[in-house]
Amino acid sequence: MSGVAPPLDRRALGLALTRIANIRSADALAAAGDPPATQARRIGLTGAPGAGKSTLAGRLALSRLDRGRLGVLAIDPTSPKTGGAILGDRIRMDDLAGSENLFIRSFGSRSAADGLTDNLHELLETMDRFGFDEVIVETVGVGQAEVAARTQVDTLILVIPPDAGDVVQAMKAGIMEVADIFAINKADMPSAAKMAIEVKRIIALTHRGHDGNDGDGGGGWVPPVVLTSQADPDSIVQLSAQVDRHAEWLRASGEQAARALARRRYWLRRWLERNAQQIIDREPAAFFEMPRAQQMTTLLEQLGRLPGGGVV
Amino acid sequence: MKHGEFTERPSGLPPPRMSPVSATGIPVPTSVGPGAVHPDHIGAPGEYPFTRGIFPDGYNGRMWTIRQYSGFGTAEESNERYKFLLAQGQTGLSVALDLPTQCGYDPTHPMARSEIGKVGVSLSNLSEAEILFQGLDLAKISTSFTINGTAAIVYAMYLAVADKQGVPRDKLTGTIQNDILKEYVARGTWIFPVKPSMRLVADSILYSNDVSPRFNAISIAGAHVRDAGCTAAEEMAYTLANGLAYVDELQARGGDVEKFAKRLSFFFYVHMDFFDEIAKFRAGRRLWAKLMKERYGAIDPKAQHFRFGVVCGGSSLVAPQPYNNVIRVAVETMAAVLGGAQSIFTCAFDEAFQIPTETSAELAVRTQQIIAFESGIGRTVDPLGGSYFLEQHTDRMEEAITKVMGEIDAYGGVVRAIEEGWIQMRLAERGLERKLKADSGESVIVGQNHFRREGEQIAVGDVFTLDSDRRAARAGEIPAGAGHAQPGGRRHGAGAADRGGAQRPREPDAAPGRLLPCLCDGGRDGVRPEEGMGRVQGAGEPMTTQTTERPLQGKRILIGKPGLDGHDIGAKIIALTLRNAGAEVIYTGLRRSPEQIARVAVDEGVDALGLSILSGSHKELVVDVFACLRELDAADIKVFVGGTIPHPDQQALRDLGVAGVYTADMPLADVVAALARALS
Ligand code: B12
Ligand SMILES: Nc1nc2c(ncn2[C@@H]2O[C@H](COP(=O)(O)OP(=O)(O)OP(=O)(O)O)[C@@H](O)[C@H]2O)c(=O)[nH]1
Ligand SMILES: [Mg+2]
Repeated sequence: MSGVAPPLDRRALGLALTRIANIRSADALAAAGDPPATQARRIGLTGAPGAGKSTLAGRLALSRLDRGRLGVLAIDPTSPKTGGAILGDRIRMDDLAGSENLFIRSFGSRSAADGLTDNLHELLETMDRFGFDEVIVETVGVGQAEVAARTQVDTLILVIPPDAGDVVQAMKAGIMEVADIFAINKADMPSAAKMAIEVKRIIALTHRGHDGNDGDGGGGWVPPVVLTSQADPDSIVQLSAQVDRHAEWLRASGEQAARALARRRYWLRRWLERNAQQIIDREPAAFFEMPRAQQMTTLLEQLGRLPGGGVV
Repeated sequence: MKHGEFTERPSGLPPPRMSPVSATGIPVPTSVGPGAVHPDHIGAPGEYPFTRGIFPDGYNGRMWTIRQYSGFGTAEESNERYKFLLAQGQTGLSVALDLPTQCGYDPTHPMARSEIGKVGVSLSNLSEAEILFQGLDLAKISTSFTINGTAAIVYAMYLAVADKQGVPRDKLTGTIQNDILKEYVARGTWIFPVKPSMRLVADSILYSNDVSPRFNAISIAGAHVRDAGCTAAEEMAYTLANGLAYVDELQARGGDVEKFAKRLSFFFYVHMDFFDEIAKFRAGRRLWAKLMKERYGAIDPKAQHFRFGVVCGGSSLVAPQPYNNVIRVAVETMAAVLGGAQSIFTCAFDEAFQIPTETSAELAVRTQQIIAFESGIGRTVDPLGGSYFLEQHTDRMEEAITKVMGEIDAYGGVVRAIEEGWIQMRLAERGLERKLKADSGESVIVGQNHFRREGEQIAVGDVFTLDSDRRAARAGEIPAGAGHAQPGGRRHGAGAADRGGAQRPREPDAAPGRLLPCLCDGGRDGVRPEEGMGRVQGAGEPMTTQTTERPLQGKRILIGKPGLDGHDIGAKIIALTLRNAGAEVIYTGLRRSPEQIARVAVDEGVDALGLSILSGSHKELVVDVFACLRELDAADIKVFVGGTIPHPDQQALRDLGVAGVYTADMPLADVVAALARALS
């Protein structure tokens, strides 16, 4: 609980997030600083465009406000053509009564192609420094590639609309395997129940070996399937309860530590990827005429010269 | 007070040319011969399928109703204006209501504060309704109300006033718009989610059919989507599709098509492409009759009749060289008459920047009277019927309409298309397209993009001002705490509509003075189907001239709609334009308070806050937004304003600290350049 935290300085946080979102990848390492002392619990919402992620994020946030200071970071796609973006997620959340304890913030995906945004890691750490107890991250609505979201959050909720039969088939191999909770959303629509059955069937296939939906007897986590609808407050309460149950499991099973480690690995990998990409994209054709080994050496040298990059 | 002068840049565009394609996109031949006419498509006036009109004698039996949309300030002021208009020869009333009344806010609600009586008359209780119609005989005059979200309540008030006047309810004539579907798409005064709203609409229609059988309890309107930017064919297609959705709902609620269909009426805009407009009405009339007969088996010709009112002007009217608007409205009125409209509202020449003054309103009435009684074009029913070109154009228009209706069907029907924001998205794209065509000079707007002299100075007659003392006095008379809604309270109303099942609206006799609160308390947390912005990802992209240029790269800009203003097409166009210029744009959606907007600006860490205001409340709202920003220690955020800002007010806003004011006649490229300069 955030009882001890000083009142939220929204202006300072708003500006800090803008600044950090704009930090070039080359400077990210230097700007990162030490990891914050405490960390907010991170809940991710991902799923296809229009699945209802934003609507659900708003409701979930509201129902969890009693747990302390809560942030929502919502990511919308940046147009590769213009570099601009319409950040429309929060429109779905602003109808909810505002609260001193609730902070909603939109981001463009910028150069990130994984459903997240550049510097998300640093942005989340900023939220930690401002004393947030929980942060909900809404990814860009992408089909199945956003496994990256997995590493950034503690609990990943996959939001599935009722009429996404084909999509679910396609997702089997990717995100379906890493989500912690499945929300079959828009449950007010008739096809939702059928979709829930289908998803449960796929979960049973992918999580073979564990026991029933409610148990984690074997130590494993079997993702629950929750029917949710904006019109049904009880369904949000149920979803929220599953989030708590998952948090408890993470703690008890030791999985928490494994995920923290995965997150550190991921951060480093992203840092390298982004910087390497920028360097490689800048190289003229002549660079690629050089022997491969020499290309590699040059690349590594340049990486090493980046601010803070010598560490790598 | 006089309007100021504005100095404009010359357009610098190539000379205009005549397009071989009509405004709605139908190819127009240079010459047409008799082979183009299919006699069996046409029929006779007064006969199925009514291409040539629903009455055999056209306007000889009954002249169209001259019905000027009017209302502002207090009930007393509007009552005076109605009497003035009737004295000028107007033949029906059309009540414009203020936004608090339309959106279901009590006048004492903070969201209503700056909007009371601004763009329509404030009608928050029965005594105001009584004053509004004082000295007007409801047995003789027909009254049309542009009211939707709170239509059932206003209708109840009208019945109550009639009761008090001793006028039998079955003598009442007039219309409540009561068309909720297009509110989500284009007009913005919805209150509840789509499905319970549909039920309320259907129930109020069925109730009205029983107690006031000569009253039109719905006017299915295409006007608003049209004015927001869609084509004539889309206007008719969306409207017919909505009409079918209502018919389905009415049948589902137990209505008899032979009965309720007689009281369905329609409402459209008339813009400048003369033959598009005439053909649109002829094709629409034919299509509706066919649908009613073939799909629903309606036998009574009256249940097949497509009766419609029109408004001439709207977004075809612009601020530069405003007197040109008189000519536009005259041309459009002729199209309406030749298309067979049952009632006509002509916009005043100052439409583009203010509520009409008495003078401009009078000129608008005169325009109709000149066409009605001097030109003689209404003597013969459908005088252009049989014209090779018009009949061909009508057929092609019908095809275009049918095509769009097919697309809606393919999407899964109009309710779904609205709930998922699909039509809204199409509309925003169209709005942007229309604006870009005007900016490039491809579509000609005389006096705005073409034929505009450098340094041209235009004095625009009188400025419309409201008597704010009278409004304030009126607001003060309302006892505080008389059961208003709790801000943020919600759902009761929607729940009631859900549960209301078979119930009909409450007997108006029992209605207490204050009816709005029960609606005001309603579920504002439903869907926000009016937005659909998140998914307009490809619209207008890349902009004609800005493929590689990203003048606003890296800037974060919030576009806010403060107050109850529902005009959102400009805000969406600007949002898309800024996005195309490289900015990250956050759009608040409709009906946000200054507090909410300031807070979002702070939380989002934006570089600029752009307010889009067309409700006439710009001064109050801007003052409030600045106050809220200061409160949040964010007075340094640059604030820009766009919308309907009359000239004298533009300087006033700058004096308040606004960094720039932009209006519809400015090319988008100039707006982007100005913002880029201000933010660099
Ligand atoms: C189209 C229109 C409508 C449509 C709106 C469709 C929609 N979804 O937007 C419909 C038919 C629904 C409508 C309804 C009403 N309307 Co209307 N409408 C107009 C009209 C004809 C054109 C407005 C328009 O869309 N222009 C085109 C757009 C693109 O321009 P724009 O919004 O100004 O935006 C441009 C610039 O201003 C600028 N901009 C805008 N915002 C911003 C923000 C930033 C940051 C920047 C940089 C730039 C910028 O860029 C845009 C692109 O060029 C005007 C009259 C006219 N001819 O101008 C009346 C007008 C605005 N309406 C008016 C009124 C009163 C109403 C009603 C309230 C009437 C009533 N009593 O019911 C209703 C209810 C609407 C509501 N819920 O609020 C009045 C307002 C009077 C006033 N301000 O004093 C006007 C002026 C007509 C009149 N003279 O009476 N309307
Ligand atoms: N029927 C129904 N519709 C819903 C529900 N929740 C959301 N919607 C609608 O679904 C549409 C998309 O909702 P969003 O919350 O914007 O979906 P999203 O997944 O965030 O969309 P993107 O961010 O664009 O990918 C909107 O029209 C919502 O009104 C629900 O519970 N039931
Ligand atoms: Mg979203």
